Amino acid sequence: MPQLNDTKKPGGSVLNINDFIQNPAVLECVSELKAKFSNDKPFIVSDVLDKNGNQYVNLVQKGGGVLGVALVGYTYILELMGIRFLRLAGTSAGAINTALMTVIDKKEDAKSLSILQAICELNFFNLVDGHPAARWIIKKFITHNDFAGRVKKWITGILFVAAFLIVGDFLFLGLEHKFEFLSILTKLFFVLTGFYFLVIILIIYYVSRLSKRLKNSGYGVNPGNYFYDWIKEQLIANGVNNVTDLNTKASTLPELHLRVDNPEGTASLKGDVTFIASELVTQNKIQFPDMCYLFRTKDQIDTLQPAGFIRASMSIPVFFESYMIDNIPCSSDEIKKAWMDTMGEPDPPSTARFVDGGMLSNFPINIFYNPKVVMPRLPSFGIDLDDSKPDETEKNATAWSLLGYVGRMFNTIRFYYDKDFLLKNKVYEKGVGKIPLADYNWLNFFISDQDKINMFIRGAEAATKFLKDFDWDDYKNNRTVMQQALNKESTSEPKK
Amino acid sequence: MSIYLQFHWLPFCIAFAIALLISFIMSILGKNFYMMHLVIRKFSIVDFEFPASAMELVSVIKDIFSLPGALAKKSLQALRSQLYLDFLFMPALYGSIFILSMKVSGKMIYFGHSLFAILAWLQCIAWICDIMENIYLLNKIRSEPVVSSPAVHRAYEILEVVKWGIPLITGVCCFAAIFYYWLAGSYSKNSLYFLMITVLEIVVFFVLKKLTAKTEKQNLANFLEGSELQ
Repeated sequence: MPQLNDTKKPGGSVLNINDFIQNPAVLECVSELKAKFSNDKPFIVSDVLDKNGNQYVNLVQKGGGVLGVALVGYTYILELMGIRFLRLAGTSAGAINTALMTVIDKKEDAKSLSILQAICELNFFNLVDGHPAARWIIKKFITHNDFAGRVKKWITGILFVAAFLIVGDFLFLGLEHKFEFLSILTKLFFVLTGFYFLVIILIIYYVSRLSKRLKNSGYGVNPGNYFYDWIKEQLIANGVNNVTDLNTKASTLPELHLRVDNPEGTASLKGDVTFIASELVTQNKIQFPDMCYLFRTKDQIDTLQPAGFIRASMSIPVFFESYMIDNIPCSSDEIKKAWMDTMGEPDPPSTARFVDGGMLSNFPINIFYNPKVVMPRLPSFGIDLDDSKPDETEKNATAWSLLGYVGRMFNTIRFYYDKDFLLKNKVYEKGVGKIPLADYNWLNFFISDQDKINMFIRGAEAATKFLKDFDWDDYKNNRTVMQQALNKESTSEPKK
Repeated sequence: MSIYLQFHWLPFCIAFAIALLISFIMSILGKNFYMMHLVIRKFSIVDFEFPASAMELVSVIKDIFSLPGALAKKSLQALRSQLYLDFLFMPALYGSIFILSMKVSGKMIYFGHSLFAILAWLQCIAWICDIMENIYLLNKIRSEPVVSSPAVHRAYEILEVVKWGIPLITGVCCFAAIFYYWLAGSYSKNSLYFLMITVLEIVVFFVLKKLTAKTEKQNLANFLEGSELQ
């Protein structure tokens, strides 16, 4: 088991929960909300309540690498306002927070402080657990704005020195026939040239070893073992050892009642958890733990490790090694049927290979869509990590570099799946709060403690703004109207 | 007492030929270097010589033992055989570099004469480091390997740098000096025969390697032959 290093503040003290929650900006958020909602204007966000008066919502959390710290700031404020979560879903960093919110304590308990504690104890840089050379390159690329420019300068310098040495060799070799005393210098130049080329050959060999290593590791720079061990430790510490434990924890609800009558009642309310991952062998979106039946027969489900689902969901391609589930009993009838029924796949793989769920659905709010419910009893909240930079060149279709062009294509494909759902179901956007994080790099695992605190504050501020603006009645009415219209459309369809 | 020893080119050619022959046998053994890291993957002896961390060295060993029984045995047998064979490879390799360096030293005067003689004797240190490395690895290769302490791992890293650094630096210095004498035309006709023999040895080595070369897929199929995973 890896040792978790405490993150140290510049003064040498350990980062603790109070650095986050006692921050004046966070306290200001709390007092603002308390001032806005009082007995005259009660705080209402849902019709589903427990006996302690906690209000229940569904929550989806977006992926975004280290920006995930902001998610904790957001959920901290929601929990502080007495909001609890019935169904949870997330991708990548969102999956990590979702997992911790699922397993820590009971549904009716606030979990953000425990998650903050875990964050305080985690040294983010340990998550970058690849080869030291790869770690060094990643660090330089992320923390230096013009690292590529510097590399270009180094290569030019290397070529220049090589040319200088070769010219020197020939120059002195020619001169020593006339000036014998130069023979010492000629030999020295030859030896230096040999050394120089030895160093270059070693560098080339080392780089080729690293690229071979990258290939052997499934094109992932970091094995992700540290993260896997860390999240597994968190799950086990909270009594989740296998898939059954995870499902039990996610579905165990306190006694619930409704604020106002609803034809659906409370019986059909259920708790669950979903982590999104992209499967590359069959090219599918996988929802864990719901789709475990694709990888193991029912009696073997608990041989899968839930930590692997979160590890799969956060496998940023190239940055982390893909996560794999092997020994899939692909010849069993049960597995064959499961793949055929769910994915239309007649030939299940024996090994499945997962990368970040954000490749397909980084903000999976669509999984809470239930056409059978006309009048919602609770809203679906979403936390969006907005790191888009206000850049003029982004809007100028002819000003992109090749990398920018490829990036735009990639992002168009990547984001459209979730965007399409929100465009068609605009009312769901009313439940989404955006955390502005344009000045942070989502891959910067070297962030300072102050940056962690600042991101937490951004999350808290975004949650405060969202709760101040959110109108449950308006949301409920809009969703009811939308669903009625959709149902009407679908029933009138056959007549056409 | 002089540190300089005089040699003929013939012992160099013989030692170099033996080094190439053993290297060829070791490359054949290396075709069975596989481990199970979620899926069956190739590893090389360099993964043992330059692991990213003490933990990674242990992980590679564990991954070899994770192969299904017969395959793990096959891979481990190949690895251990290569390490044992390395004990024969060492005197041939370091010996040939030693002779080469002494030959260059003989051509040099003043500082160069002493420098190349010292470089030649330094091969003994590289040889000792190589022996220590092999003993360390042979002890490490077991089903439940222990992660070395940071100090031990650091010492192992230094040992590797010394083991590789000394022969590489000596080789490059010798090559540069020989290249210089070649361009300056300062060589005896007699040594040309031995140069041709050395070049011929290298050519034969690469031809043999080419003849026995197989694609990664074929190597894996050979490795899996007779196992359930085939």
